[in-house]
Amino acid sequence: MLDRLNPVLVKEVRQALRGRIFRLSLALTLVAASLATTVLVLAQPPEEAVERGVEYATTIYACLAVALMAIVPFSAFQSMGAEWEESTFDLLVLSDLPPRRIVIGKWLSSFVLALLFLSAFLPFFTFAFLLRGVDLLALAAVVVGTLLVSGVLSASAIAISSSTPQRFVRLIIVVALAAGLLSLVPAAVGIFYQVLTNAGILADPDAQIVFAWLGVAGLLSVAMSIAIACARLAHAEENRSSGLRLIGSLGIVAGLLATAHFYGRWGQPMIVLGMAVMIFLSLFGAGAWLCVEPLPLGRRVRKQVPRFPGLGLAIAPWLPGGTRGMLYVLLHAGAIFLVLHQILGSAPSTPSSTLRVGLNAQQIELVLFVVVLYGTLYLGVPLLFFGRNLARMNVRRMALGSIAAFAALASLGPSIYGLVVDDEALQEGQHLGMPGFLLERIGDHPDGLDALTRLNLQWLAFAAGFVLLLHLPRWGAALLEVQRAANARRAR
Amino acid sequence: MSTTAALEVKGLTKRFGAFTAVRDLSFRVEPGRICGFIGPNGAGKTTTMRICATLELPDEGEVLVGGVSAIEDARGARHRLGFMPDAYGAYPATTVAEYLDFFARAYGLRGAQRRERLRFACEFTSLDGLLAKEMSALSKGMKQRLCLAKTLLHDPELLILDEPAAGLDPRARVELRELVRSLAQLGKAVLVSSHILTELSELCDEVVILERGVLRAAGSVREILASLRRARAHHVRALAAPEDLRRALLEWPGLDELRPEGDGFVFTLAHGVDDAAELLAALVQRGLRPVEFSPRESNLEDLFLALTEGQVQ
Repeated sequence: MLDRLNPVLVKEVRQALRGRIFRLSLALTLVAASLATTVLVLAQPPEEAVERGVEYATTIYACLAVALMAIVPFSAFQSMGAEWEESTFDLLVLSDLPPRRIVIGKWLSSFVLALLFLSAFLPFFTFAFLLRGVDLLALAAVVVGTLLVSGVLSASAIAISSSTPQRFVRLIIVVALAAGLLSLVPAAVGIFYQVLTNAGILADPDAQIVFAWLGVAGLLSVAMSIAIACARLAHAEENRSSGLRLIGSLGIVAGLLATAHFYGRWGQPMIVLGMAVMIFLSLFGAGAWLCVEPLPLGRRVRKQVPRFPGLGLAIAPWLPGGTRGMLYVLLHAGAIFLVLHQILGSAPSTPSSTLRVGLNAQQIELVLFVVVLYGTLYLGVPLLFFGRNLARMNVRRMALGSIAAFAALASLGPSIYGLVVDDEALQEGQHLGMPGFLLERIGDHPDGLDALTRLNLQWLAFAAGFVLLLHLPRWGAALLEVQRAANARRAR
Repeated sequence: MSTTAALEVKGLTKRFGAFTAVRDLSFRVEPGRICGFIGPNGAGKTTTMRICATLELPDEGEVLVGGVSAIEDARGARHRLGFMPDAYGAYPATTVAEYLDFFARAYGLRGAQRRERLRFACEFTSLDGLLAKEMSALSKGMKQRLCLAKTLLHDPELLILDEPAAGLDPRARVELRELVRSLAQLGKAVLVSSHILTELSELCDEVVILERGVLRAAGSVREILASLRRARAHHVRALAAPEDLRRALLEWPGLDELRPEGDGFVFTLAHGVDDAAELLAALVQRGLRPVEFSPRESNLEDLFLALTEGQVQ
């Protein structure tokens, strides 16, 4: 079985156990925990010390949290970067290891290190449990939770580390990452203390549901981080995009399931709105990256297109290429809207008619429709001009920048113009470029839209439709490319 | 030419923006042959080697490693080739044995097969006594041997060595040369680049000369030299005053590139061996008392200088 273990996992664990960072950090955290124990035992009379179980456990947990939430993810970040710094990356790529195994090996090794830290701290937690006031289930739940959070952070650190081999940029990232990870520790310690002093929270069904969905989100986050790192390590001609797109789709499905579950349980339309806004923001935010990928399928990717043209066309939005990326985003946006429409149309198991907060279901549907239209315009308009010749990195950056610039210009441009022509309504952002204008009007009319809002909405829909129409030839070309690749494979 | 070449490069072109690093390059390396890859700095050698090793992609052209496309089937090609880059890394806090074991696992070698390949690689590169040593404690020559051992683990048909002798002391260079020769005897094809041309001339069966991304010549050193014989270099030494000898040589039609060397002169003659005989007779007739007159053996260095302009892109 040892023979079949991921070689990167074996190498990384060997290296870490012999390396200075792990040995020193383990020694330091254990010394800190030992000091805390010594202070408890020596500085307090035995009968008082016994009462201080929760405080003692929290102190020990703080030492463990530093190790699991800062040192382990930081080591994961460094192990990825070391492949570039030590010039071993090419050798690794040339071996039979695909990027997926390299990344998973590194991630698993960070998990092994976290387990080693945890095992070193177990005697301290056992001692804490022997004191009074520490609930074993709560202690175990938070420690296991921290281990999982450590896994999520390590995966994210590997994804961030794979983003660039440039030393200067990496230096900035190192500082930001170290600060970010360390800032999480006090929050984790606070949660630990709260759970230990209110152990009943773990028995609350609502809290359990939230924890379960947070677990799902964590798993998806790990999968997405690994997919990002794999994409970064893959050769430029290889398929860097389909994995990300697929996990994105899975994330959306999970988000929609969670939305349906929460709405069914708590019956609050605002939950649907909150979840939907998060899903749409993630889709359009991350989708912008997919939309600026170079279009032509790489020679190695062309070999992966299914031989059957119908199947090839069906999976085209999940294949690399900016135009297909835009299809992916719009396809998902439409599907999300339809599913949310169904969710809002269904009766929740716990009606909340007596506790109506915020917008009603019809208003939320309109808000979501407006979000889809603005998302379409913010991506579609700049890409009409900057969505070509994306093979060069600087053009891709320009295209990405143009999306942000267009969004800013559409929102602020008319307001600035209002300042020039002294138009108070424009100055206050009462124009179609400002999404808040339309959303506010929808919010103001719970019993149906007024004529002006309806007109504005029609204009917005017309503009989005027109932009989509202008994109049609490029979508046709992108789909044709997939069909040609399928035909070429069949011809072989 | 019906056999499958260990490496076949066809019409390779690679551009970096507006800059063309390699232009329409074609050559092949047969199994069991050592091919020297020569060119000044910036000629496109490393780019070509990295494309052959599947690490870069060309804009045009094809690379076949043992008949497998390095462009479309990178994984298949990687099984057939071993690449030793000019800047190879070492893992910190790792011993020689662990390093080799890691790469053996990475190449998918299992159980007895892995142990057998590790034993062969260590024996072949004489690393047996260094297995417990940390990589950071190895000398440059030892690291070079370690990298070669790693490259041999999966028994590749083709070895691509980018500047393997750079930075090595003379003893380590001789050892490396012997290792490369032994590899060719085992039937492996070797594509090796180096700036030390004397090193390559003793090692290579054939050469590929590249300048500014363009192929200048390809074939065996002897064949290429034969094609250049039209203007062969000669050396002359006489007992007469050097100035008299120089004047007589300058008057001879077809004599070119005259330059002093030691207490004689070196020059080229455009018209072959008959012309050389007539020149020697003329020098004797004029009483210049020549004591040495011989065609100069051209080596790889001469060949390189004759074919390239020494320009870097």
